[in-house]
Parts: sequence; structure tokens; C-alpha cells
Amino acid sequence: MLLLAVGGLVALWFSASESTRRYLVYIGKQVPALPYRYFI
Amino acid sequence: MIGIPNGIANAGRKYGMEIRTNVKVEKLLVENGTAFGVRLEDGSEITSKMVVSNLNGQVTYLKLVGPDKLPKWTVKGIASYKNSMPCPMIYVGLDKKPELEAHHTVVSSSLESMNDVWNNYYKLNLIPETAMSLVCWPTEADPSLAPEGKHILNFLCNAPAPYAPLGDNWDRLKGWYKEAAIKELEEWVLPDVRDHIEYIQVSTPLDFERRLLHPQGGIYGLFSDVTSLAMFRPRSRSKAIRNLYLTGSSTHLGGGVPTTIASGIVTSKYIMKDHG
Repeated sequence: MLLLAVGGLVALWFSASESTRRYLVYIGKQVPALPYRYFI
Repeated sequence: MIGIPNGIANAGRKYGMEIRTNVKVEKLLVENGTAFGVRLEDGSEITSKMVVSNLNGQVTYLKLVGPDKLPKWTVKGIASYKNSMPCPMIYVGLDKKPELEAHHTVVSSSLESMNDVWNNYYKLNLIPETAMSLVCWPTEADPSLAPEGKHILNFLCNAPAPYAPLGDNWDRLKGWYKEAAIKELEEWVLPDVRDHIEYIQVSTPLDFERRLLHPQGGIYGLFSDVTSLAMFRPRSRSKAIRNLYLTGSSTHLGGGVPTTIASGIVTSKYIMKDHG
């Protein structure tokens, strides 16, 4: 199941447009800060 | 829009609210994780049961409270936000009624033009001469804002402008930008506007930063994306400092006039729940 999920995400990534990928990269860079933002 | 703060002020005065203007708060007074007042720029202090800040969340926590009074994870969290886009604004006083149809007029561009502005100007920290824009006509709704027969326009280029234009700064570019904005108005909205301007003022991102303490002139407070909303946005009732409440664009529900008004309602409900 995990392999299927990872495969699905990889497939989605390669099928996404360039602007979608840029957005996902941007969101991904924010993720490490999320736990800290919860305590504000 | 001056009607909104005036209305809030009039309502507050009925309940004994005292309003002081042109008085800068230097610090929030915080002891043992609890806010109990403010220190003003002149050194005087006002103590209170609670403090409500309408300022940008980063300014409130990092400048007014100070990192030394905050848990480390709060400092890390509040410092991680980006600010919303800076948008210069132009205010124009006209000697006649403009030929507009509504309070707001949106001037849109082609997709090619938008992409050009984004890729060839904004990403390179350059300021485009033409961009999408919003023309607001306040005297359409409230003629008392101007002398009889005169009218006001606010002109906002709603495409982002760089806070630090490449190789230059907004103080030097103010005159150039004013002229570019008038040309934009002439081309898309009011061809004869230049002949009827009695007053014009430009507020740049630097002006907003200095006057309103909006970091980098961001007009919508903290950036709004999925990682800066809901539980990841600074709370209306602070999780880090007791008796500190936030309102405005940096907290729920986000930037913009209706949402900042709503944030005041949300915050007031927390205050009533906590303090009766």
C-alpha cells in the first residue's frame, strides 16, 4: 500500500504543471516551520 | 474607509474608551508570560488587564514583546512567516465627478501581460510601469469625504511590487511611480484625469512600513497561504503570552477590510469569554 501511495505521488508530480510543482516546492519548504507556528 | 474606524471610535467612546493618536508604543509590558500594559515612546507606562494589538504579528511579538520574553519555539514560529505583498497606493483629489460606474473598478490585463509583469519585473525586483489595478472611488458612497463637487480616487496596483527595487529605493522612485500611475489611469480608465487632478499623493511600501509599521510595506499583514492559515496563523488569543490578544490582518481571518473587521469581532468574543 505504501509503495502504491509513493508511486501515485511520483506519478502526480510528473504529471503536474511547472507552476504546480513550484507551488508544491514552496509549500514543502514551509512544512518544517508548521509545528512552531502552532504555538503562537 | 475612514468611516469604519470613525464608527468604531464613536461606539467605543460611548462606553468610556479613551483614544490617543500619534502616540507610539515602544514595548508591551510582559512579566512571567503575562501581558499587563504598554510602555510608550516617551517612557511613560500604561498598565491594564489585557493588551490587544492590531499591529503586524511579527512586530507585535518580536519587537514589542521581544524574543527574551517568548518561548524559543514561538520565536522560531513567528520569525518563519513571510509578509504579504507590498502595494504602493496613489490618492488623487479631482475637481469633477469621474466617469466611473461603480465604487470599485478593476482594471485587468491579458494573461501575457500578467506573465510579463511576474517573470520580467517582479521576479527580477523591477517595478513595471503598467500592471493590474484597482480604482476605488470613495466619494461615490460618501460625498462628504471631499468638498462639494470634488471627488477622491484611490488607485492600487494590486500586482506585487518589490519592497527593494533592484539598485534603487522607493524614496527615489516615488515621482516616477506617480507619473506611471497617472498614465495607467489615463490609458485604461479616465483619459482626461490629468487635467482634473487637484491633489495627488503616493504611499510607497517604505511609507507604509514607516507610518503603519507594516514590515516591508505588506498591505495584508502576514502572507496568506495554506501554511499560514487556520491553526498555523498567529492566534487571536495568544498562545504564548497570557492576556495578549491580536486582531487585524496578521491573525484570523486574514488580510483585507472585511476579514480584519471580522477579526475584531472574533477577538472581542475571546476577551468577553476570558474577562467577562
